[in-house]
Amino acid sequence: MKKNEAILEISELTFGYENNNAIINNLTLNILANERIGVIGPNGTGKTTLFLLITGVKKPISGKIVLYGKEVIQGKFRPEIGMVFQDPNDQLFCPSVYDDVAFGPINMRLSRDDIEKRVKESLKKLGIYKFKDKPPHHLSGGQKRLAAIAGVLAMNSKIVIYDEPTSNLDIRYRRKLINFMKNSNQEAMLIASHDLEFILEVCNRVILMDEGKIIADGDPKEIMSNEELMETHGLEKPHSLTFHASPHRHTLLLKNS
Amino acid sequence: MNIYTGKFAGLDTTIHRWEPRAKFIGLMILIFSFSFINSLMLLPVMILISTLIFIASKLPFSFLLRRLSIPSFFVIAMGIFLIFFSKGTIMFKLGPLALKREGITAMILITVRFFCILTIIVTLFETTPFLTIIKVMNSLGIPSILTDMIMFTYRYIFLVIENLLNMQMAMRLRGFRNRNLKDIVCLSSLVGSLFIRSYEQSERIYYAMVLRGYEQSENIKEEYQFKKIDIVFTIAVVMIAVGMVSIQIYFNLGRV
Repeated sequence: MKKNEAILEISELTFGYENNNAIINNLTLNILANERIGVIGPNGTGKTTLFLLITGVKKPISGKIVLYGKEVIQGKFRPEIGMVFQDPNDQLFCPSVYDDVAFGPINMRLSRDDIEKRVKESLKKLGIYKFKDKPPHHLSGGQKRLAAIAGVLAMNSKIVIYDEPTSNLDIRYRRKLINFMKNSNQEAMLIASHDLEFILEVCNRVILMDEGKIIADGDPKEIMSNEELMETHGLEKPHSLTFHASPHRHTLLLKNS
Repeated sequence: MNIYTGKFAGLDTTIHRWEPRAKFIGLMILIFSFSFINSLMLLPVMILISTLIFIASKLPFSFLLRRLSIPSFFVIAMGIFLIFFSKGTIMFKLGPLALKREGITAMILITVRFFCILTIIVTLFETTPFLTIIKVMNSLGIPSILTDMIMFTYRYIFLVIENLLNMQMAMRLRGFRNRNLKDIVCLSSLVGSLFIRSYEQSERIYYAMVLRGYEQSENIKEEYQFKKIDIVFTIAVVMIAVGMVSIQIYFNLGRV
């Protein structure tokens, strides 16, 4: 793969249900290697639908998706791309964490040793190896999220899509996830989130979507600091990008003391 | 409510060490032979065998009692019905109710058979991890669609119950008390909503499975290694089962 060559090309993609407006409306997008793309936008804007189209779960009405030079066909298994769902309960369907993480590698027809190696590695990487024999319903919300990520990690997917990865996570697990994502060697990431501070910390490119279209595409700080653009599309400028005319309360207290 | 099995699968006893496939086949044959018994003379043998297997598994007796408590109500209710309402020789009469000899025999047979079979089932499922049982079923040729369905029911039933309890709590917090017939409408919409939620979730689960290659490859058949002791143990159990059935057939022929 040449430098600056798109690993995922989406051209003129349209999707919708009968008698409804298009959920994805003539969308074109190219994703390059080493890009961490944050997908932001109000609820119901088509972010999850876009992900399901990219992964070949749903079939577009028109348009084309090309992944590593090969067109994505609905229902065809492409382990190069993985997706972490918004609700880990949707993803953890096996009776034990180990079996769930092994599900992908088994379907990739790897040898027993390779399956075991991959499961071990991904569980250890996320620090949840000790939970391998636990049933998913015995895990906390954060542990479930990490187990769901481990399931995708074990497939060695080059592109990983995260749908609202920080939802329902406490501060400790949120930080764990940020550190993991920052140090991850995945070739590209697509992250849909309403946690804009998280997007700022992890992503090097942001796409603002509204009504199935890309409204803005570029540097996260540049896009998210544009107050007018953000508010027009039902979003709020992140606190860290807000200019503080008056110092924070604790700074005042320090000065006074 | 704890509906999950395999809580004691980590213990180390002869029954736990018994190779899963051999154990599944052996105990299933034993269960079928128990269901075939209708002679009172064979009941002590049945009780003895199930007690020995249960003791060998070192499962707590209190745990067995808990597992048997709810189904017992149904069996006892059915037993009472049989005693009084089956046809046969009247032993004792109390007003319109008459105690029948055949009814008592049927009640004893059904109750003992039921408790023995359930004891064996509890022993099987508590000494073997659930996923191992699923894999054993797969390796014995049960279609994967069936075993997948069992696996999902096992995995998600708890989530459905949790959803139901949350929804009930939300209803109560908004004043719902289920006092009159009109409230049935609310309960029916609760059940409907639960169905829709479960349906939508099943769709998302299916997507998650497809994304990790479901339907792309055949199920990997587990490889099991039988030791001599497994074979001996299984043959012994199967011989007991066959012996009991043979004696039963002999009794039946004798009666004719």
